[in-house]
Amino acid sequence: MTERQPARAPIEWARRVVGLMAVALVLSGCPLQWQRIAINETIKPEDVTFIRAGKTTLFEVVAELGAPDDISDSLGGAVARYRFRDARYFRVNFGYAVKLLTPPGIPDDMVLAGGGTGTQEFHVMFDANWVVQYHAFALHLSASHYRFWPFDTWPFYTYIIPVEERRSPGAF
Amino acid sequence: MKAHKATWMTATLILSLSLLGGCAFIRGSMGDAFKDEDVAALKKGVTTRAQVAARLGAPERILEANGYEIFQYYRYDVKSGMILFFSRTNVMGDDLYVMFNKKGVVDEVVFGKRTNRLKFQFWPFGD
Repeated sequence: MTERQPARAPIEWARRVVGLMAVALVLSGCPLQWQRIAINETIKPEDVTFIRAGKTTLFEVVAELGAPDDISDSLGGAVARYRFRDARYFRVNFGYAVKLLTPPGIPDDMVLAGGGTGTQEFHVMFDANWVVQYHAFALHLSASHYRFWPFDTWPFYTYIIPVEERRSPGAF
Repeated sequence: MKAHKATWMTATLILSLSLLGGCAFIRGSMGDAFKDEDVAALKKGVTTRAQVAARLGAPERILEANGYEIFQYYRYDVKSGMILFFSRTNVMGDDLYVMFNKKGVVDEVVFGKRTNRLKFQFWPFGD
């Protein structure tokens, strides 16, 4: 004879829901922030392999990459510039952990934050007939990163959080 | 059983609403969108500088390159998404270049539309 057990599933689910709500409420005023701003689509070297100096025209370039952000004149001919930017920012507030214990009116922020903006430019020079003379990238992509540690010196061993080449300490 | 279902649905609703508390979607733009009929109306060898200005308004910039006078028109569109502690803002622009010959008549039209590929995103990692 089996004894009917009280249904435990709804209680378990209720606990999970309450737990998830607690996590969501804590995170909604979260001490962590990752922010990113991207301006225009990134043009990669593989996107411009179709360009042939002496053959490709402005209109073929526009058909593939869209209109440039700027066209300017130079002694060598017209220059079309495509600009794209990528900015990243990271912020952590360690004071958040003691917020409930801090008396009203006393600042409780202890913030480490940092980031960077990587500006890239692709430029194409044309002759008098709008045929490509040459094209080149100006690359500063490594400047775009989240940065946990805002200082110049890095107190941690690099095997804890590795510092990549050409990046600031604490960048990721 | 119905009571359990109602409780479960209420809890799910409250959870969903609490997650939405840290959520924002923002849209902005600079300049009016280009109308296809306005761009199509620019005829090479026919439309004059004055007609272009009458149709599209004064250009944002007037450039000179390769012996052409160029009217540049542009606009920007912004879409921003934030969920909890992740946020991402994407900005893209449309550019229209109208090139005039020495007689002040349209010689070439270069138009590129990027804003139709602009997306709302909140995940700040990856491409």
